Amino acid sequence: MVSDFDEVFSEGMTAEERLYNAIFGKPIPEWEGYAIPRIEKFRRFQKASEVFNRLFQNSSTVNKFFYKPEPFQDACGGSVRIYPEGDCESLAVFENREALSELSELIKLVDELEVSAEEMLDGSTSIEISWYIKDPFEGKPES
Amino acid sequence: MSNFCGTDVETFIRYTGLADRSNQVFQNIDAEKMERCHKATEILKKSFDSLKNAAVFFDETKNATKNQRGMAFVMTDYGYSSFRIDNPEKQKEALKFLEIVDAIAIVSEKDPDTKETVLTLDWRVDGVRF
Repeated sequence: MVSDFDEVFSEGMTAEERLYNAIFGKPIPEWEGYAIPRIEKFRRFQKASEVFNRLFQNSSTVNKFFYKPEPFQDACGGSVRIYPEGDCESLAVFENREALSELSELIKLVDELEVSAEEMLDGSTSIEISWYIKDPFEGKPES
Repeated sequence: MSNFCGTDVETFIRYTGLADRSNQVFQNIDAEKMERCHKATEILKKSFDSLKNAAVFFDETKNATKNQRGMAFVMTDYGYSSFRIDNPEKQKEALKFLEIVDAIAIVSEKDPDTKETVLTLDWRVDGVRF
């Protein structure tokens, strides 16, 4: 899914133009003032997704989800739900400098990060860690 | 020296006989570690201050070689507890916090007495190790 944003190399185009072309299949129009900030949103989403995957790649009790921006104007993000192992509590551990640096990188990339604990139907609790990147024109008219 | 890699300072000093000079070394290490612990606790107090049913704890010990631990927890009555980083100020404080500590753990569990869902942020500042 993240590979949808791989850049198409084309001589004479800027990186932003190449990415717009890869997403929409056409050259970026000169008047498209909304495209560049949204391309930045996609870049952040791609990097944040990579960091997020690395942070939780080794755990067996997680479910990861990504919310890709569709349509183009949407916010985007990801989340992970961590379940208890046996009768123990649910745990998300960042136990070395490398993990803390990755977590810091994620916090820098996103607009919002939420950590929550929720009771499940069987009485145990799970942890959810969610992050969001807002659309730069959220709440603003485009015309 | 390489035989002591992974050893804590106390063991190293016992085997090398550096006890005479150890007090000042411990004091310096301890002061630096305690400063980090106090800074981490201050950040958490500021961040959790506005949350309902939140509390921050820090357990002081005197030994520079031992790991120091602290925690902050949030609980509600409705089976759901959370904290959020959703503005630049909170982001700055969170990044500062992650620079200061050596490890964190996020834990969710049910309080056995109150049956409330508790979300805890545990943190650790390590004692000195070679």
